[in-house]
This record gives sequence, C-alpha cells and structure tokens, in this order.
Amino acid sequence: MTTTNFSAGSLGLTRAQGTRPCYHEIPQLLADATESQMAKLDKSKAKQPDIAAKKKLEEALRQVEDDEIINSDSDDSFLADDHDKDGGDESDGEGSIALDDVDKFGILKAAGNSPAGTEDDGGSAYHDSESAEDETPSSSGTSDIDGSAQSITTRLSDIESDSPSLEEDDDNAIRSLQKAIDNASRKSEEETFKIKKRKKLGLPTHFTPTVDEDDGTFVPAKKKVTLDDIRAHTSSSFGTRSLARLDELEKRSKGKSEVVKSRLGRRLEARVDRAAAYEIAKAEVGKWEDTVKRNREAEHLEFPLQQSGGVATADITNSVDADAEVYGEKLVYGLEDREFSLDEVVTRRNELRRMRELMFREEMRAKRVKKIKSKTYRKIHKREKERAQEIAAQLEGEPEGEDEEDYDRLVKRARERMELRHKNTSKWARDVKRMNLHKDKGTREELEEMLRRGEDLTRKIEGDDDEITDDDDDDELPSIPDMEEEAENAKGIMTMKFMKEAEERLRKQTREVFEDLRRMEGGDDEIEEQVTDSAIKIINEGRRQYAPGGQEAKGLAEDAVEESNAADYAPGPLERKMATIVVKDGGISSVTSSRQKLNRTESKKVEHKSAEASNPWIQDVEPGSVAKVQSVLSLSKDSTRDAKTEARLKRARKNAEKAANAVANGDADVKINVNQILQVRDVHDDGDAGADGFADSQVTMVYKGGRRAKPAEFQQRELVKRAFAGDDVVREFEAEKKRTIEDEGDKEIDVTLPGWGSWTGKGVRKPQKKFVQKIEGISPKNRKDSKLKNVIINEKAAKRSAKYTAGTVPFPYETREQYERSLRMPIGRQWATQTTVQRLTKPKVMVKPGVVIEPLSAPFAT
Amino acid sequence: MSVVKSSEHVRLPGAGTTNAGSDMFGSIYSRSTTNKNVRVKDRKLRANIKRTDQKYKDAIRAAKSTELLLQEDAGFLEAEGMEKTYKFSQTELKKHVDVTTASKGFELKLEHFGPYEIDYTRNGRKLLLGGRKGHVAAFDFREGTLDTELHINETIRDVKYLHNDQYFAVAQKKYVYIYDKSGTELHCLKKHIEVTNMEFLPYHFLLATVGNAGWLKYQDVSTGDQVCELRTKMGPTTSLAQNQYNAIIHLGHTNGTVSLWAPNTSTPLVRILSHKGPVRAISVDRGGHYMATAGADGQLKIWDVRMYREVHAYYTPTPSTALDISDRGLLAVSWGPHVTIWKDALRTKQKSPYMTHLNPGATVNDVRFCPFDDLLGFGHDEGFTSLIVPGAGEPNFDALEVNPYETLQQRREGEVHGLLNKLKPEMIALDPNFIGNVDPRAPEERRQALVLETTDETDKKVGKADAKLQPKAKMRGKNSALRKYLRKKSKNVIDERKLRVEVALEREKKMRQDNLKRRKGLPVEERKLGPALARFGK
Repeated sequence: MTTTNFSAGSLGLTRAQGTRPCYHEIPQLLADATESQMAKLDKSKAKQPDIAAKKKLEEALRQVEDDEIINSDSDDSFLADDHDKDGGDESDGEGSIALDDVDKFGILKAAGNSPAGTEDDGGSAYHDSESAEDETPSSSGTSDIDGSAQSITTRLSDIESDSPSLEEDDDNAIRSLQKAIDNASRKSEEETFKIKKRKKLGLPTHFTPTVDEDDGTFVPAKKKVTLDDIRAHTSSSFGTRSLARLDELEKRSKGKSEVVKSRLGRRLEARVDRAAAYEIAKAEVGKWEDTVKRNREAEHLEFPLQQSGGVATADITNSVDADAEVYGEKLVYGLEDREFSLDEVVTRRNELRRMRELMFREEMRAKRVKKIKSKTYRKIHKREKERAQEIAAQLEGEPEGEDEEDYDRLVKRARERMELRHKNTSKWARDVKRMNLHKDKGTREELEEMLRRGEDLTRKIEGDDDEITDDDDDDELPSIPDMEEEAENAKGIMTMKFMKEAEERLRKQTREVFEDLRRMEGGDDEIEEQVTDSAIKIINEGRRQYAPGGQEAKGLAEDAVEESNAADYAPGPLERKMATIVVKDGGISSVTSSRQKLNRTESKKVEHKSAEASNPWIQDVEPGSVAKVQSVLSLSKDSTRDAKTEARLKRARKNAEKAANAVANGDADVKINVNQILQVRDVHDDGDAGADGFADSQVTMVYKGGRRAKPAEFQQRELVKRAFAGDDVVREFEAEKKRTIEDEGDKEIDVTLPGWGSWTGKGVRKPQKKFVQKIEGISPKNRKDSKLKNVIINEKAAKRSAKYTAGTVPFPYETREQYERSLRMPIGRQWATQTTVQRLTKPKVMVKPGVVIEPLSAPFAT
Repeated sequence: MSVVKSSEHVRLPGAGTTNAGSDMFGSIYSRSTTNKNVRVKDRKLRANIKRTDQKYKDAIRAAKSTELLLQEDAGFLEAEGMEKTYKFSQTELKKHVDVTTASKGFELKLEHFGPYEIDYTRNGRKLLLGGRKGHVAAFDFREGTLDTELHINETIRDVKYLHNDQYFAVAQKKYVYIYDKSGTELHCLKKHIEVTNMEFLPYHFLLATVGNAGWLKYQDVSTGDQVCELRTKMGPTTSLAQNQYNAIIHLGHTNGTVSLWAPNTSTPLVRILSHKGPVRAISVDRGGHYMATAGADGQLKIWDVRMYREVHAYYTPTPSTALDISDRGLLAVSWGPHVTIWKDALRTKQKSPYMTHLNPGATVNDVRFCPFDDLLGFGHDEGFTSLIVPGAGEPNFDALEVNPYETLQQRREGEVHGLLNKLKPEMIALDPNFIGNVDPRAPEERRQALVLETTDETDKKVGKADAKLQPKAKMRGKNSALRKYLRKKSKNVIDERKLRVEVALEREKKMRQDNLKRRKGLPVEERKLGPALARFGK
C-alpha cells in the first residue's frame, strides 16, 4: 500500500493576509497551491528537460511500489480493519495517493510509503471537522483532492516527459524531495505502530484532521485519491510504464481486499443507538398508555382495580374475543401444521394483535401527519428525512458517485459554492479597491486568485452542463476573437488599468499558445485520441472542463493565467451566456417599448379625462342632485307667487306629517293622558278590548244577571270616576321614576375648590376651568325598565351578594356560560331521584378497605 | 245537574291523577333555558361538560319517570249542557261529594270577635283563626281537635303559622307575639310595632312584618335576631305577600304601587304602579310567574312578575279585600260578601268565574286556599267558612318537603332538617339561582362589596359583644398630668423637670391639705407672701 503525500506548505504564506480558509476550502487551496507550484516547475522545465529529476521520480515510484508490497504482506489483518472504516469506494484504494505534503518551497517532498500515515491523517481530520462535515456533503473534499491529484499527475507527466529540461536549481528541490521521502517513510512507520496501538484501544482512527507536525499546516485527508482517479486523468503524456505499474498494483490489491462496510462516527452511531433505544423504551412504556388514559378519564375508580386496568377490563376481553374470531382461521391453520402450546398460541396472537395495532397506529399517524399544513413542520421533517436517508446510505455503504443522489449532492454542493463570496463584492475586496491596496503585489495576487476561484467554481457547473449538452465540441479551441469580445465586456475590477494591461499581456500569450496548439492539433493525431479518451472517462468530473482542448491546452491556459495574473480567460460557455443575455436584453427592451406604448395611450386617456374633469362646463354630477339644486335655485330666484305658495304648502304638509309621526312615536309634547296609561289592555285579544272601551273590555267579578244590570252608560261613568280617584298617583310615580333614573344615571360632581384661582379686582376674569368629576351610571336607554311604563326597576339594588358569587370563572371552565351550565343541576334529594343523587355524589375514587392495591400490570404479556 | 268529574279528587291530597305531564316537563324539571352546544377547545373540559350534560339529562329523565308514582289526579267541576259551574252552590256540591269531603265544607259562626284573619299550616293540616277583637284559635279542622283558643283582650291584625303547627305569630295591637301550639306566649317582638300584615319565609325561617309605620322588618325566628328593618318610605302598607319561588316580599302601598323587597337591600328592587288607589291585596302564584293585585280602585290586575308586565285586568264591582292563588292556579277573589273563584285566570283572560259564593251579611276579610286540599277558607265578619273548591289543591305531595300526613317523628325530623338547610337572608334575590354564578361586577367593585358585607356582619356581632365586655374606667379625679408624667418617667432618672414637677406636686398636696383644714375650721399656716414671692422668703 503506497501513499504519496503532498502538503500545501505555501498555503500559510499565501493566505496570511487574506480571507481565512474554511475547512472545506482547504482542499481547494491545496489544489491551487500545488498547481501554482507545479506551474513554476513546469515553466522552468519547459526549457530544459531534467533527466536527473525524472530518474529521481522514477526511483521514488519504485520505492513506493516496494513499500506497498511489503506493507500489504505484513499488515493483512490491519488492512482489513482499515477498510472497514473507510468508504466503500476506497476499498480498492491501496496505493492511493493522499495529497499531503507539498512543502513551502514547493518541492515534492515525499512519495510517502506508509498507509498508516494516511489513515491517521484521515482519521484525525474527520474528528476535528465533524461539525463542518455534517453540513457539507462528504464528497466535496474528495473531488477537490481529485482535482489537485489530477493536476499533480499532470505535472508528474510533465516532469517525466520533459525531465531533461529541468534547471539546475531544481536539483536542490529533488534533493530535498528525497530527504522528505525518507523522513516521511520513517514517520509513517512510526505512525503505523501508533495506529496499531490505537486500534487496540478501540479508538477511531479515521477522518481526523491533523496538524502537520513539521510546518503546522492543516492536512485534510478526508478522501484519498484512488488509482482509478489517477489513471483516468492521466494523459498520453504520462509514462506508460508507471501506468502499467499502477495496473499491476490494482490487480494485486483487488485479489486481497473485500468491500467492507464502513463504520459511522462514534457520535453518529451513538445517536442512532439512542434513537433506537428510545423507540424501544417508548414502546415499552406505551403499553400502559391506554390503561392510564382510561383510568384518568374514568369518572369513577374503584380500588383494587380489576386486572389489566380497572374499567378497561370488559373492553379488553371483548377485543380479545374479537381478535380470536378474526384470527381464528389463521390460528387453526397454523395448528394443523404442528401442535402449538397454549402459551405459544397466546403469544402469537398477541404478536399479531400488536402488529395490527402498530399498523393501525402508524396509519392513523400518517393520516394525521398528512393533514398538517404547517410549513415549518414540513421543513423540519424534510431535514430529518434527509438525515435519515444519509444515515441509511452510510449504513449501506453505497459507493458514492453512482447514484442519482450523488448527482443531487453535486448540485447542492455547486449551489453552495455559488454562494461563496469569491467576487469582488466582499468587504475585503471593496476595501482593497477603495484603499488602492491592489498596487501591493501580494494583495493583488490574492484578489485575483479569489476572483479566479470564483470563476472556477461557477465554471465547474457550466462544464457539467457542457458535458451533457455538447460533448463533441470538447476538443475545439475557443477562438481568439471570442476572448477579446469577452474582455471588452469585462466589468468591475477588470476595467482597471492594471487589469487591462494584464489582460492584454495574457491575450498576447494566449494567442501564442493558441497558435502552438493549432499546430499540435494539426500534427499529432495520437494526442487527440488520448484527449478524447480522457474526456470520455471523466464524465462525472466537471473539473476537467477548464479548457475544451483537453489536458494540455488546459495546462497551457493555466500557465498563462499564472503569468498574466488575469482572472478570466474567455471560455466558451461564458461567451454564450453573454450572447443570450444580449438577446434577452433585446427582448426585454422590445417588451418595455411595447409597454411604454400602452402606458402612453393610457396616460393619454388619463389626460383626456383630467381635461374633462377640469372643464368647468362638464360637471360630473348625478342628474338627481342637479335637479335638486335647480329647484332650490328656482325657489329663491324665480319668486313667482305660485311657486312660493306651493313651497309653503309643502312645508305645511311636511310639518303636519312630522307632527303626526311624533304623535305616533309618542314624541310629541302632549299632556299625559291618564286614561291612556291606565287603559286596560287585553293581551290576548287586544283588538276587541282596546276598541270597545273601558267597561266592555273588562270582565266584572260579578255574574251579570239580567235583573241586576244597570244602564251601560251610567255604569261606565261610575267606573271611570272611581278609576280616576287617585289621579295624582300616576304623576307621582312618574316623577319618582325620573328621579330614580337620574340617581342611577351618570353623575357630574363639581370638584372645583371654592376660591381657587378666583381673584378680585379690576379686569380679573372669571376662572374658566371647572373641575367636574363624572361618575358613570346606567344610562336611561340601558335600563331594564326603559320600555316598561309603570315599572321602576332599581338597578343598583339588584346587586347580588358577593359572598355567594364567584369572582372569576373557575379553572377548568373557559367561559361563564360553561361554568354556570355545570351548576344548573341541583344534587339534593329534594330535586333529584335517589339514584340520581347517589350517582351524582359518588366519589371519584373509592378504596375497598383492608385490601392491598397492586400496581398496574402491563395489559399485554409479551 | 252539576257534576263533579271525579269524586276522589276532593279528598285530601290523594285524589285523581295529575296532568302534570308533557307540558310541564320543561318547566318543572329542566333548569336552564340555554341548552345550546358551546364550542369548547379543551378536550378534557369538553368531555367533562359532555358528561355533565348527560348526567343532567339523565337526572331529568329520572325525575320525569317518577311521575309514575303520582297516583292522584286533579279534577274540576264540569258543567253539562246549559249548566254553568259558577251556578253550583255549596249545598248542591256537598250532595255530590263524599262524606269526608262534605264534612270539610263547614262554617264557624263567631259573631263577636270578627272579622277574622285566617292561616293554614304549610301542610294544610291546621287552621289558625284570629278575630279582630282578640280571639285566637288553632285547631285541626279535619279532626275537629282544638290546639288552643285564646282571648287576648287586644286588637289582632294578623295571624301566621311559623314553620310548623307548633308556633304561630299574632300581630296584636302594638307588638307581635309568638305563641306555641298550646297557646303559651313565647316571645313578644317589641321591635315590630303596629304590624298589619305578616308573612313567613319557611326556608329562611324569617318572619316578615309590615305595619302602619311602613317599616318592613325581618325577624329570624330560629335565632331570634332581627335581620333587618327596611323603611319603605311609602306610608302605611296595605297588603303583603311572598313570592314562594324566590322569597321576595311584595308590599302593597296606599299610593297604588307594589314594591318588591329583599332583606339585603334598603331600597325596593322593583316598584310597580298597579292601581290608582291603595293596593288592597296581593297574591303570587306558586311558581313565581304571576302576581295578582287588587286595588281600591276596583281593579284586579294580573302581572307577569318575571317581565313586570301587566297581563290583563279584571274589574270588581266593589274593591276587593283579599286574594289568593291556589297551588293549582285557581284565583280566589273576595269583594264585599262575595267570594269568586277563577280558573285559568292568570294565563288567559276569562269571561266568567269558575265558582262564586255569597256570604250574605258579612264582608269577607281574608281568603286562603288550603294546601293539598280542595278547600278554600275565608274569614269574614261573622266567623269562618270553608268552601269546597274542586281542583284547587295539589293532589300529590312530596313527603320529604311538606307532608300532610306527617307523624310526630317526621315533624321533628323535618324541623331539624329545615334548620340545617336554612338559607341565609342574603341569598334572597330576584333570581334565586344566582348562587355560585360568576359575579358580573368588576373585581374592584366586588371586593368593596365583599368588604362591606363582611364588616357589616362582624360589626354587628363583635361590636355588641365589645360593648358589653369592655370595662369602663370609673376612677375619676385621681389622675393628673403631673402624676402621669412622674409615672411615665423612669424612676432612676432625675432631671430638672422632674424636680420641678415634684415640687409642684408637693405644693398642690399642701394646698389641698390647707383647703381641707379650712373647711374643717382648723387653723391654717398662712403665708405672708404670695406664691410668686414665697421663694424669696425664709
């Protein structure tokens, strides 16, 4: 098992004054760093191929191979253990390369040969960045590393192919690399030992971020680059020999290892365990739920309770019987096969019942949940569901990148990346711009890098799209005019002078490269083939799409970027996008223009209207009102005699009507007609009684015999006289009523202090302010006797004794009506039958004296 | 020929079957008008309310089912063909009823002490007669046994049985007296002066009296306390009646108004202008729905007491003197020597009376229906007459409530139970079901009312007790400001002021002694110098 460790040593330097890298950024930074380092190497080697370097590398590779063999032989059991913990996709990851150590001098330090080191690193990385990982899809790191790995392999191939052209100063680098390799091997051996120890202790050893002991940089090693990855991304320029070796390695490893499911993190496992335990405990406790509920709701409890839950007994036995009926057939059927003991039958029946119960409950729950309309609830549950799915996926150990889920995850990741602030809109970027810090080289570089990364990230998505839509165009190079056009469309920081200059430079260089590539394209068919091959192989990897021309073109392009410090170098899709935007703009403008037209017409109308409104001759008045005005005018001006008399007549008629109405309503100021007040009114047939007059309306207490009957007229006069005997009574009563109304009505008390603010002398005004205290009473309208003529109801005296009333509605009741309704039924023997009284006064709990009360037993014996 | 539909019903409570059937179901057994389902949010409460409602319904059903046990039926006189029920005379009736019933229609000739006031006990067993000129008689009119007969040589204005036949109150010339069954005078209620009318509230054990002075006074007969005195401010009260439904007292005044009173309010709850002349008689039906008033203006009016609306009015040729409404809703009106009985006269206006009776030569003074019997007793100038009025009494009785056939033991039990279940005077209100309900007043207002209520009572009780127990300081003249000062001053502190005070006291003492000596003629050591210059001498 071989691992090649690179570390991004220069990281600390380059990011020092810039934004702080997040955990998930680190792989990317790493990749960038390596790329930049390698680019330098590349450039130098382009002139002079260095044979020595190549040799060294080959040697290193050989060493790697040997070490791997040794390790795999010696640590068989350990390997299995490791794989158990790693992702399934890493099962074939022997000889995988973790990009760990590119030191700050930009030198390939170690083709490290210990798997243990890698494992260790990975493990620690996981532990420290767990929280971060929870949020980000785990694949993010992987592909970053993949990317960087790819770039490195590219460099490797470069080194190999162009090794003779290496410069002298690279000798130093090679030497230090050798040293690093030695160190790494030693270190890894030690760590292997450590790991073994740790394994025994049962400590998790994977996925922990480590701090490199040498230079104190973070070493993310979540995912390792597999051999497949390397092979996939190698171009034709890579040595075929090393490829063959890799193949060999893979074959060997495949023979030995198996796909083993990975274990989850400790906390994750614990969580799942807890959830499961909770479910079990809940189910256990839930057995009593029904009984407890029933007992709580029971109106009356008599202790000792009947077995299996007091009142519920009857119900349960019933249900048991029903169950027996339902499952009778099944039971019989089962009994035919073999003989069951009674216990078995009971347990089985219970099981069945339980299952049915559970199913029913689940169904009910689902029904209930389905009804819930709360958005927050849905959101929370969606998240939960996702998490569960994730866990499930992890438990199953599905290899990543094979499912649709993976695609989803990629999309998500991409979206997340879109949100990164790799634009010059961040505060920092703005500050740089504002304070002219971009003149400082370091800052400028950083800024550019940031922008470039933003570009990269967005382009990754586009690359994906491209892959899907036009695979055939991949090998075509972008035309230079396109690039130029793009440069013209540049915005923001790109409009600055230095950027323009840089761009100009870049363009020049690109043109050169472009020419070169053209030549190469024309000449070398082999390369083309390989390019297409690679393009096919990397279908899922959007990162491959830097430049449609394939690996070399991309590399060159990147070189150019590095040199010119320009952020964008005109890829195809962007341009297309711009074009579409332009098209859209056109559309929009047309639309807007049409809308404007509409608006214009509308505004015209409005104007027209307003003109109309402002026209004094055209009044928007209803005809009726106009007529009214006219009539008024006519009366005042055209004062013909007829009209006047007519008006007078009208007024008179109106007054008469009003008076009549007043009389009808009783508003008129008429003297109190006592006769009216005390007129006997027959409620049941008032039509007759009211009309016929006093005596006729009344039935005398006498039996009117024919002999005794007096002349009706005389009798009536007599009666009326007698009836009016106490005439004053009525007036007195009304005065009394008036007084009561005043007493109980609103009162105003003048609380002005006598003499306060009052002065004597010439020209002194009287104090205007009167201090009046108003005490609210019962208004005459709201009085109960407002419509009762001969009745005074004392509103104040109707107070009830506070002692016998409740101040507020007592607890369980919500409203007064509910509470008072519960009171309406008297319990006493005077009002209810004996049985009712007994039932109503039965205590809630009755305990049989001298009996031991057992605790509740579970209703189901499982 | 007149026919009494069922002869049994004329017997004591036990006759005929009641038609208290379906139409009475609602009024008798159900307690609330609002039975609509209120939406309740709380599940537990909802279940609770539902359960309570169910219980309520069950209780009603159970109560209704007990109607099966009501064996007796009430019946009325029924006329055939051209006959009119009001034409039947007592003598004719007596021919057609059983002997026991016929024996209950009797006449007592008491010419010398009339006119008579009458009263029945609540169970209708005993009759109490009070002749204006000082004759009191209590007896069981069925058995013909006399409990007591008294001649109090004093005017008697009213007589009233208390909670049972053991005690009765007599409103005499000046005070109200309470006698027991054997005629022993137990109490003289000296605060009830010149009482003209009395009522007894059996559930509250309150004797309500009102007299010429126009004071309504409540006397608790179980404790002997006077609950309250209410000034009507309307002159002499001419009539008094109680509403058995809510224990409200109805007073009739000379100015034609009827006022409604409860013991805990100093002003009348309601005033109704009923007549133009003095209100001569008032009666309220058992259910507390209707009130009949008779005035000196010759009117007889029926009022709905719940709505305070006049339902309808009748006319009496001469002003009515007494009114009574029976348990079954018959209205008896006396005017002059006549007694007219009206059937269904409260709900609907009747054209003709149910029965009439003429008592020639004697003005009727008081009319009472005998509870649980088809009898109407009236006291008049010349004694007492008992009329047979078929359908007047409630045929079915609740022995737990009022038992006409109660034994000695039952009477005693009933008395104790009654005392235990005695209601407080404050519980009297127009709506007797207010107890336990939520107070509609604002909390602050309620709190004040509560404080007022409690302090009132405690003052009454504690204040009196304090007045008796606290000793008064009766040693006079032994104290002075100087002595007090010295007493208060700590003994061991000697300062300038103390010295001065001691000197002053000493001087005072000397002066007193000198005075004493002078009074006794003893020689007194005279000082040459006055008090101001004395210090310079010697």
